[in-house]
Amino acid sequence: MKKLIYSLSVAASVICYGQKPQFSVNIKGNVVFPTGNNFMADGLKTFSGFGLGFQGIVFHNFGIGLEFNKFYTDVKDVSVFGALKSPALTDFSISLLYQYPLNENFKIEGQAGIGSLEMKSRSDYRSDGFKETAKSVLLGAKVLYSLNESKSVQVFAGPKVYFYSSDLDFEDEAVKKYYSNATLFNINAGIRFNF
Amino acid sequence: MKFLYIINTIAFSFLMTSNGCERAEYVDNSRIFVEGKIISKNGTSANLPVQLINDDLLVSEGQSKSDGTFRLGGAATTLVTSLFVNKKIESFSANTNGCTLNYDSLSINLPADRKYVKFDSIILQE
Repeated sequence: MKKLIYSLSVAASVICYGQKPQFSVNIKGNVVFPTGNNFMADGLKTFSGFGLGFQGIVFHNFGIGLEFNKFYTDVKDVSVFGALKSPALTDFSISLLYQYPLNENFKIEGQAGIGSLEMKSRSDYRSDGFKETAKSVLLGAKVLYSLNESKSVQVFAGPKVYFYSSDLDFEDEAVKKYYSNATLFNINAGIRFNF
Repeated sequence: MKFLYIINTIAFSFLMTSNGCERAEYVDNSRIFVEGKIISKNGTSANLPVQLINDDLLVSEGQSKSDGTFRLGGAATTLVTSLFVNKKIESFSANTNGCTLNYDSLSINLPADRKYVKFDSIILQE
């Protein structure tokens, strides 16, 4: 009986994990270029900001990641974006991750996820400002390089694409699309601590 | 003296909040977009400053292009937004009912329930 429970638990851990789970914390810097034909690309300058991430690789190099990012920018064209100031994007997302070791020191990592983007703009006229919330779908990749023998500290860099989609109410479809959808191209680089 | 000052402050803030004077506030997740074409009789419809103003709050501002067309987008607010073209307006035609010319002919009041208004023409007095 004892033997059976033991072998079952081993089988379960192999099925569930297949490997010793590895947890990591990421700290990074971001730049974001709004692209395409939309209100962010035409109305806003390039964003910059920071990010924090927590992730676990649990099953055959697959894992789950949670991220928090903050991106700051300024208005480029008031007639497009409105008489608002210093828009800031807050990004919360959850991603499926896949890691692929290239060699002893290098690894690549891909991610696909969903999340929320909230853009808060300040105003000269009202202290509360103006807020827009959107759903996001994101795709990203990064290259990681281990700084030490035990691979506990890594540096990384890579691109990421966010597809911003809110649901604003306009009586015209083209205008609705212009103000509800945006593509954000992100480049990030940072440091990762593995536990 | 200090006591009087406090009483005064309380009384004053009470008056301010209860005088029924409505103030425009931003409506989150709601935007407004206005576009159109300005036509002038002496052909000076280019580079005119255009503005969307709501109460004391500037919603958006820009300039008309060389052909007189303009596009203005901004945050939606709780009160009626007005379009200013900074010249006297003779007449206009819009894609919706409910737009009214202000008594001074300098602005057009937009309907409160519309988020998109297109003016086929805004004809200036000169």
